[in-house]
Amino acid sequence: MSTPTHTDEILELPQAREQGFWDGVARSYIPAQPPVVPEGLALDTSKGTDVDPVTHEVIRYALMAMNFEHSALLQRLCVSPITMLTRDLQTSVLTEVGDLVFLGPNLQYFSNSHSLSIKYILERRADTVGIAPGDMFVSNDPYVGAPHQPDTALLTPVFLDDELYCWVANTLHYSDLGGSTPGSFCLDAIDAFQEPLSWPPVKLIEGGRLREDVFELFRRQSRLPGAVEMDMRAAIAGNEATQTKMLGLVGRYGAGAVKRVMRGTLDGGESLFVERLQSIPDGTWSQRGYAESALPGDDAIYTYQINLTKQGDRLIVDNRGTDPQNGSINITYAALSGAVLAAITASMTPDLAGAYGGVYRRVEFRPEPGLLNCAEYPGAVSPSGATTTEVHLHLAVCVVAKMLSCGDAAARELILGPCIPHWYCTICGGVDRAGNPWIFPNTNGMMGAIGGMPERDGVDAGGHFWIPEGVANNCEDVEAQFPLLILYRTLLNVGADGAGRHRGGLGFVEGAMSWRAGAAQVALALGDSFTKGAAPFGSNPGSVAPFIARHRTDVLERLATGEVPARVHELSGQVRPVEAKVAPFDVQEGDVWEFLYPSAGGFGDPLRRDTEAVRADVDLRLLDEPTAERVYGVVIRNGSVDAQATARARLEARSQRLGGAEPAEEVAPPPGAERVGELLFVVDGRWWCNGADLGAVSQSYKDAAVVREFPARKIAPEFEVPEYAHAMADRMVFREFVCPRTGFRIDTELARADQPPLQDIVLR
Amino acid sequence: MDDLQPGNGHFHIGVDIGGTFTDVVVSSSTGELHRAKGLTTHGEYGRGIVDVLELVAERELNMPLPDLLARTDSFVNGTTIVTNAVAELRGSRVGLLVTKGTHDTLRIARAPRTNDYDMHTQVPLPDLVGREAIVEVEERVDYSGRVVVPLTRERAEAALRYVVEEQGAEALAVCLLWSFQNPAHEQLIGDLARDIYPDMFLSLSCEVYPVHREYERMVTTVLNSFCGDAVADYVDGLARELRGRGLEVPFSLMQSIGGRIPAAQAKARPISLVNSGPVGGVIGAQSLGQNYALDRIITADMGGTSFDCALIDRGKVGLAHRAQLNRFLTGLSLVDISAIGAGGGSIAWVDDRGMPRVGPRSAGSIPGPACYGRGGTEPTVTDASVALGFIDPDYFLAGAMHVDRELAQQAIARHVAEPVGWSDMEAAAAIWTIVVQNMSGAVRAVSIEKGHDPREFTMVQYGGACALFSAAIARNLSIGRVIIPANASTFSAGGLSHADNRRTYVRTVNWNVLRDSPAHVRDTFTELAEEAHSDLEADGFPPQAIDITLEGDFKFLGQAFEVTKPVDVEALEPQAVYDSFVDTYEAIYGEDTAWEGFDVMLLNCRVTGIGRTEKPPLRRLSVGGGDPERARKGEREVYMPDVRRQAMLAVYSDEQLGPGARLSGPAIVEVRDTTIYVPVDAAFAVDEYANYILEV
Repeated sequence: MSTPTHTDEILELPQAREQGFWDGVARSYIPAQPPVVPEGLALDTSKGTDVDPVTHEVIRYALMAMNFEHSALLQRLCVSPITMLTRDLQTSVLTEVGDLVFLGPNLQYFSNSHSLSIKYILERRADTVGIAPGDMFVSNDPYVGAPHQPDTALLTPVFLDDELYCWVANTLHYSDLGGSTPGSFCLDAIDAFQEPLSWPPVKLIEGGRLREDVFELFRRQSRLPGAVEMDMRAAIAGNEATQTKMLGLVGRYGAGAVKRVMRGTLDGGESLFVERLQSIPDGTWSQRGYAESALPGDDAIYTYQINLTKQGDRLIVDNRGTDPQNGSINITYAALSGAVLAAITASMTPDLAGAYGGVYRRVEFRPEPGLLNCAEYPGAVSPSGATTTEVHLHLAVCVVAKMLSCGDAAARELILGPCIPHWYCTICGGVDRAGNPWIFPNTNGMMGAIGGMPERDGVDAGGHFWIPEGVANNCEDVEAQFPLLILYRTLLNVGADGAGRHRGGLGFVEGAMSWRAGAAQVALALGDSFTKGAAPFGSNPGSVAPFIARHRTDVLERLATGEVPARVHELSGQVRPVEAKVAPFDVQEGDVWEFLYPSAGGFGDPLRRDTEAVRADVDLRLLDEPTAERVYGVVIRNGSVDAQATARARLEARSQRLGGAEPAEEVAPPPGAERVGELLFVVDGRWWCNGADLGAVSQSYKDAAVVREFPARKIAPEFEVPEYAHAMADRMVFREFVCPRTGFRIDTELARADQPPLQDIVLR
Repeated sequence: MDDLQPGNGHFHIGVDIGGTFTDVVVSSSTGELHRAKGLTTHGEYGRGIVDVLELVAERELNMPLPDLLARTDSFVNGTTIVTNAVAELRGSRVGLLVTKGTHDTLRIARAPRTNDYDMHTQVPLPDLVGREAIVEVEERVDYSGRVVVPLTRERAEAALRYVVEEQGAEALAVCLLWSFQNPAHEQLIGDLARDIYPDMFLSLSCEVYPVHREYERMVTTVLNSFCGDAVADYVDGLARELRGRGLEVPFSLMQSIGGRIPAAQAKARPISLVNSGPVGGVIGAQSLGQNYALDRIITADMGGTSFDCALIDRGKVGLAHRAQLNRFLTGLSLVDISAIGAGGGSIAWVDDRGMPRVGPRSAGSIPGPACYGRGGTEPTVTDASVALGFIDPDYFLAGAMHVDRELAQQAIARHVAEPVGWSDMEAAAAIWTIVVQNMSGAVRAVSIEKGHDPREFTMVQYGGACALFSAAIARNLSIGRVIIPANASTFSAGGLSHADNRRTYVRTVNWNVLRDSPAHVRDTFTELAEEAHSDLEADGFPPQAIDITLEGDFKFLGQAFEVTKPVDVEALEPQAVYDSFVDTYEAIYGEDTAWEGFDVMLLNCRVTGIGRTEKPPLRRLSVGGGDPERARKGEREVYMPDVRRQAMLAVYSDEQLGPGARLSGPAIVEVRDTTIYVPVDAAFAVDEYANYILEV
């Protein structure tokens, strides 16, 4: 699929596909609208009965509360850290046809998952195995509704008498469901047959009775059958308790009243979203992201692209510009739509607090099948929970930010900063002190980092927009349960990575070793060769995240002589090159590994950062004075900003961007100018930046800007990577699009060196 | 021993120091309640308390204060001092010593975000300890308590000297990894610190909160040191004042968890006093609920600076575990009270969009509302109440204090009415309505938003400012009945006398029930129980007045949350403990949720020691009715903001309204230190406990 490069091509949207094309078998499942339901199944499709305002609110909050309580119960009952701490789980309440009423405050890219699976069940199971009171269906099929196979949904139809009234559902990330790799993130899977088995919806509980044969099969696929057993029991208990609450609510207020509130909640969400879309001009916005290596040993770089089109009162999403599916770096429609919807609701309607179903009505997807982000069967997707889905959360939140930046002041306030483009965790496993197998997905990636926003900095270790309630482990939580010793967990410094007018939140680095255990393995490690954390509007990208492993170090000797090492590079030993996609490797006592969770991208040009904000970071000892001058052009002497020296340094930096020409000062835009992004405006149908004319809006302003291009590892010393990664890193470039008058950055982009600049804003 | 000793004592005294008012309630052995109220004297709390005590002794009891204090059996204090320190982050400059590699634990804060779908609202946590005053010490202990890297005396001393001498630390906190498994390194630092800096307040995490999870333990330890000096000064000052005036019994303080603790002990663990005052009210409401056989209560407490509400469901006060204070996760368990900045002193202002807002900033007691005439110029909720005519300027606190209606009107005019372009009365009504909406939202958050239907609850309202608003709040939430206790304005102070002494001990043991020997667990429980016993005996409780309960925090291996259940230390047979946990677990979470092939852990041993105190008796009165007309003291022109109408309202005096009296709204009932607004179509009655009942 080639990238549309001309305005006309971009504006011409892909056609919607005929019914049945998206079958859930050869391709992803995308339900018909309205969904297909066999006639034999009785549904409560009533509009409901009138309720007074107080009762309406009581019912609405009760629905929301039962969904919260469902989440809270799962957190209490599950035994896998990835589920209970990371909140890699989701609960929802849905209408009789699977439209979302409430989504819980857990993993937000599960947004579309339950709805897809339920519609599939209605369409394919009602006439075959039947849907009856007391049934529960289990499914982890990415070609139906699961983002990847470990994310297994349990879906419960709630009946009133013989009529299907609504659904309650949960998804848990199960710690291991098999596949080539412990933890089931199978980076080396060439297709779905090396991954955990994908289960299309299967009846696990029939008429209230657990089907032991099915449950046994489910356990059988796991390396951790005990944990899987406990977690599945939690899932069943969660759905049962929520179903009971739902029936109690209906018993108390009446089926009609509760149904009316469900429908009203959907309608209310829809109208709020439509209202917010009004302040944004029609147009198309695009964002690209990258993967390095489709499989271990592969040295290619792959492109993902999302295009967001706003047409009146709706949004249309497509994936043109994305490379064809390959290796294990794919996702299906479930993860693609889940990630994009999560970014849209988190940015534009977080005040709906999970009542997002109405918003989804106004977002249409027209993906092209067979591409990396809408793979056809049997494309492998299992590692996507750490990689490709996070790439799409990052792409989506950036593309939504671009769209919002063209709206009015209220729309700009909705912009969220760029998030972290991967889940840079590790998964380790082995045999524990008691001789039992263990697998530990390091949930500390939950610390995350929030990107810079138009009006303020990001938040250090501030989590992720897509898991509102996630928390990280204590070191003691990890060491109590797993045979590991955490040597350090330290915030990164403020540096060039994430530098912007508002800087991105800081990430962290954590070093660990195995401790008093037998054999252990690092089953998942992600080592960046280049940063993937692009940030719109002139900021530097977030950090590059190398993974450093050293074998046979002197760590034990150092500990024995009274020293706790501060970083892995202080230690002796043999470096293991850990590239973007590596097969699991063994670690022994004395081996040490370090993973880095990057700082997020910022917002705006670092040379426009408030000098006092720079000083404040120096005061906090997060930033040193030489770095302040190098990155921000802010000269600090004896604790205060030297205003004159700072002005000189900043002018010099801008002049350098202009090839030595003297930069002009910023000027106010003419009346009637419409703002686009940070420094760019549209004046009389032409791009305008600080008095510079950057061409007609039918063209890309990037063509008329001053363009500077560096290899991705040369943006600043912070972006340098180990030598073994140079070849890969040097095929990516960082481009600055600079205002020809002032020398300030309008925007920046990361691109494969062979790609022309992306025309990322097209206004109608 | 302060409570059970026979003698000639006849009084129980509860003193609640809030942000604005200091309240005193003296309960006599016949159940009579005497009360007084005065402004809180920040910086000199002791003097303020003595002033109010004198007021109650001389005016209510007709005796000099030394006589009252000499005849006092128990003296319990709820204090705002720790709450304020944590809320405003004003406390000692703490120097913190941590394990190498964990310097950033406080800033990382396990991801410092609020549980909100909205990322736009996320901001960094404030620094509890300056980053420069956190120092790493080269040491390490592992999960089993084994020393990996020993701590040398030289390194410990260098770290201490660095934070004190180079960073100017005023108090010290130490939190090392796994210190609850092996406290030797923290104790080494502790011994050195006590040696080198004997006067400096010191908290060791292995003493303050010897529990698994270093972030929560670190925050708890740091906050303890943060408040240490302030609490010590406060307790010592108050003890001096009270002893000097004849109090013979040691005084106690209310803890966040809803029990008293002797003041001397509170000094070592000051953080346990957070929320101390408001807890008294909730304990009082629980006790009141028992008299009325009410087991579902929403408490609503509006004082000078904040509005606090809590839920009592099925007779039980809800506790919040691993509670968040300010924005910090701690290891504390406390009575679950939710607070917003809405009180009589909350300041009304106009925001950037030209919309009137109320709070959360408060005028406090200094300068106080504009109408106090103490220099306050910004309009407050109290000013609005005075301007609307609800409060008689000459009968504020039963005439003990004069308020100036002119000043109230001027402040409203200048800061709200003129900027928005409204009349003064419209602006005052807007302030009243906004604060009612804010408080209704807080009640909604603890009830509806947690799945409770407020219609099934009774509101017990108290705090000096609440009774003008409670009917309107109740109506917003469809709560049918509001109880206004006779001593509403000092109710939290009265509630303090209803609490038992409570000592809590917790220690992590990490017992894998079926795999490890229970010997260590048995020893830990025995040790903690003995400690509880001897501590309570030292507090003066005879063995027959002491109850010890042993509980364990159990979970399946790997779970993030524990189930706390009773433990019988005599029967620690592993299989029986395992089975009993599975039974409890399934009783809570449902049949088949447990799987008996999975390891069960006992994470923490918890021991609670209760020293049972003598409670003031309750007085029941005969219902004689009383003619409300006799109680009618006149009428007053009031603008009723709820119906947007000005009218002459009948004003009644509570002194003539005996038990059984009834009247209907609209009306004003003036109680000595509070004013009740009975809105249109509401019914008011006085019951046999002399409490006021509003049917709204």
